[in-house]
Amino acid sequence: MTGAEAVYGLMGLGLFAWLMTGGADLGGGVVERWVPPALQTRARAAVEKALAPIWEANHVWLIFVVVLLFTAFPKAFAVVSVAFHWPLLLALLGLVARGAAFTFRAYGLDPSATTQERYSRVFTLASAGVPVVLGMVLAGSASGAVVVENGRVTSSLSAGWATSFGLSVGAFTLSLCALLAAVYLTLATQDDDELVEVFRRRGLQLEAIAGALAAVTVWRASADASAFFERLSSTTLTAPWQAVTALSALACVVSLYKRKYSWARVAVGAQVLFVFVGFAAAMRGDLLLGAVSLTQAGTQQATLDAVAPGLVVGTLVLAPALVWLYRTFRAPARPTSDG
Amino acid sequence: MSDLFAARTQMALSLGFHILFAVVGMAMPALMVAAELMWRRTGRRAYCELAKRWAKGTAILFAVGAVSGTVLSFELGLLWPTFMEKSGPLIGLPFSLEGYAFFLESIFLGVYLYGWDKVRPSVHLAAGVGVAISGLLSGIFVVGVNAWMNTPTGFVLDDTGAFTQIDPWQVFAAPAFFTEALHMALAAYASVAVMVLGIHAYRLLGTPDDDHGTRRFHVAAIRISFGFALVSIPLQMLSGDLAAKHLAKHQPLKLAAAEALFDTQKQAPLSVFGVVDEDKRELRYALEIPGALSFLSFSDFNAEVKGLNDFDDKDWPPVAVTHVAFDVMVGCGMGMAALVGLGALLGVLRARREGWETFLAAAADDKRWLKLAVLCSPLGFIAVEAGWTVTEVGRQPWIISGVMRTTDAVTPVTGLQMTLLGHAAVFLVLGVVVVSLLRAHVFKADVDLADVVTDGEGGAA
Repeated sequence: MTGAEAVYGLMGLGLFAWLMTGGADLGGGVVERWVPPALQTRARAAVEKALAPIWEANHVWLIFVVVLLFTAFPKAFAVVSVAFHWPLLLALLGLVARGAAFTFRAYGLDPSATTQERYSRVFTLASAGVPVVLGMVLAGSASGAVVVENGRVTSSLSAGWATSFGLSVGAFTLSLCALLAAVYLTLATQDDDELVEVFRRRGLQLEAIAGALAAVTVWRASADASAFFERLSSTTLTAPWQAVTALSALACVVSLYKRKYSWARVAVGAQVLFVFVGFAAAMRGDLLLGAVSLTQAGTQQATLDAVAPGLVVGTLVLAPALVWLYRTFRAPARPTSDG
Repeated sequence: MSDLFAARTQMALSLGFHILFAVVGMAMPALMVAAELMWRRTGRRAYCELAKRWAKGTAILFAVGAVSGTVLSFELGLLWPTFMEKSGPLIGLPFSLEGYAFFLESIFLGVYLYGWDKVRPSVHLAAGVGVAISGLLSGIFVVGVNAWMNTPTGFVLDDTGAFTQIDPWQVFAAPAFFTEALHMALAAYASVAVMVLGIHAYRLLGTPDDDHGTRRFHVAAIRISFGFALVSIPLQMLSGDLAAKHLAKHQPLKLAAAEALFDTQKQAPLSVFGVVDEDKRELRYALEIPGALSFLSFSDFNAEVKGLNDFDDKDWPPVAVTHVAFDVMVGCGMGMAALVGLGALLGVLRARREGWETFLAAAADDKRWLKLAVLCSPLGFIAVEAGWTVTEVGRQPWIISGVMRTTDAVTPVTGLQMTLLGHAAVFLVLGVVVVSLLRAHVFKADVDLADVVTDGEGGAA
């Protein structure tokens, strides 16, 4: 494995970590509105409780991926920034709007029902929009429609992502985020039987929707992203990952059906991970399919050599610190007073 | 408005917004730890309440800073893809390190906020120290990127303009790094201390004389913030001197613009304000201190200081903006120095009568000084904004000094005016978020300070 491949893998892990945490946060904004009216207030409270301490920290993963991209693959970063300028800008606005709406709703100065409702709408809309546009960016990178000549983007700025394939990948990404949120929320609301049942049903429905959207995505790829479609349908590299994805989804459905929520969480995590690995396998070392491969992305060996020990040492410090944080959160209060 | 100007305006807006939160993230944890330390030592509940209140404020500003930081990390590519393509392999290192420092800071802050009754007191205090150190480090790493843009190192330009023989660690060897990092770190402590001092002075002025609990709370806050200001502001003046000497040696054009010095001369004067006329190449109506610029630059009143006319005017930064920003920065610094100087004088007078432990709190008894502190409270933040204007506008027309022009770095995407409007809206919304959060969590009525009254020496702990 080359250094560039290792960083590529790390970026994939970072994106996966973001989807599992920040992505689930976004999904929560969608799922909270998809409950019977009588339960809305309780559902909102559950989402707020799950998000409150961490809503901004989860997006650190996204910064991590962005920094790795420009550090290790500067040419790819420049191309992505230009070719997907508009969807990335939309994602950014969506993230900020969502965080702001959430803050206003939770600690707002005006607690009246209409104002709260307005913030809720913005929160849900922006929460849904961000995974869709980020999915469109991934679709754009796989579309083969972005053309680069002499390091400059010469295709139109809507090439690759503003297509039916882009939309279907966006919708599929959204369904995964919502699915993650629904499964997490079954665990977060264990003290409220009604809510647990609602989220369990949503989880099952979202598995069906995600499955259907995966099929639509493959179908649209055949029209809008033929090179990617060929790679997807070549059995040797991608089929095993598609098989384990399907198995994980099945495991998640069975766990939800049997109300084994902890198992469902593991299964849905595996499902998302395998979707990612399957995507990477189909890309076969291309950062932008047909335009920028891993080996043409401007990687500087000296940079990897400098950053690698930093990554190792940083991780050695961070990992125990994270464990410490979670243990502190879970620990019971010390019996002695605040002295 | 051209696309380039829209991009520059947007970047200025984003950095100008973010820097306020970055500065708080660097310095506020130190004040918070000082308050907890005072509580552990004296047992006075006012300090405990203060540590908790400040920690909450830090967390809110930190969270908003995280959002504006996310915005910035995207903007670097969306606005300056060519810059990032060339410099990414070098500045990726400090940015990665900053990422870790930021992550650590948020972990420590989480333990600090939620761990009051869950971890041992010494561990809690250590977590606070962790927040303070990682916050300071993350600021220094980002300044490292900027210092590299001012005095680039660690690569060789080949004939095609490509960066070869890259050595990322050399980024930290950029000549501007030490003075810039020092100046920024001290600026963070000074500006935050003066702001906190002003806020608590304002609240103290509004507290009735018989509300002893609330008074003790604000006096405790003033002792700590005044202490920080008293140490950091004189040091900042020394570091400003180092920065001037660095500029004279490594960035003479920026210094000439900051001083609006057109002709190279010996015994160069320090010019305060005045009207810059770039066409006629002169500065009119300025207050001049003869020889002072030569002295500040080279510790010699007769030293020769290079003027703008020694450089091709295609490479000149906007002189008027740089000059005014520089004077504003220095003026604010002088104002803050006067404030702490007066406070120290009041302290010494009282200390001679009643002992040195009354030194820090003495000024808090003087209503006129408190009013002055309220007036001075924004000076530090204004100085920070002005100082960044000097270093950023003063580097134009280059994005990487002498290597890449800003016009060559901007994205080919057109319609950036729309993007600018979108971002202006974003920062407006974020500004409202901050204010509403601070109002709800930090400034709300002074709850439960009644028990602070009953505080004796060495009570709890």
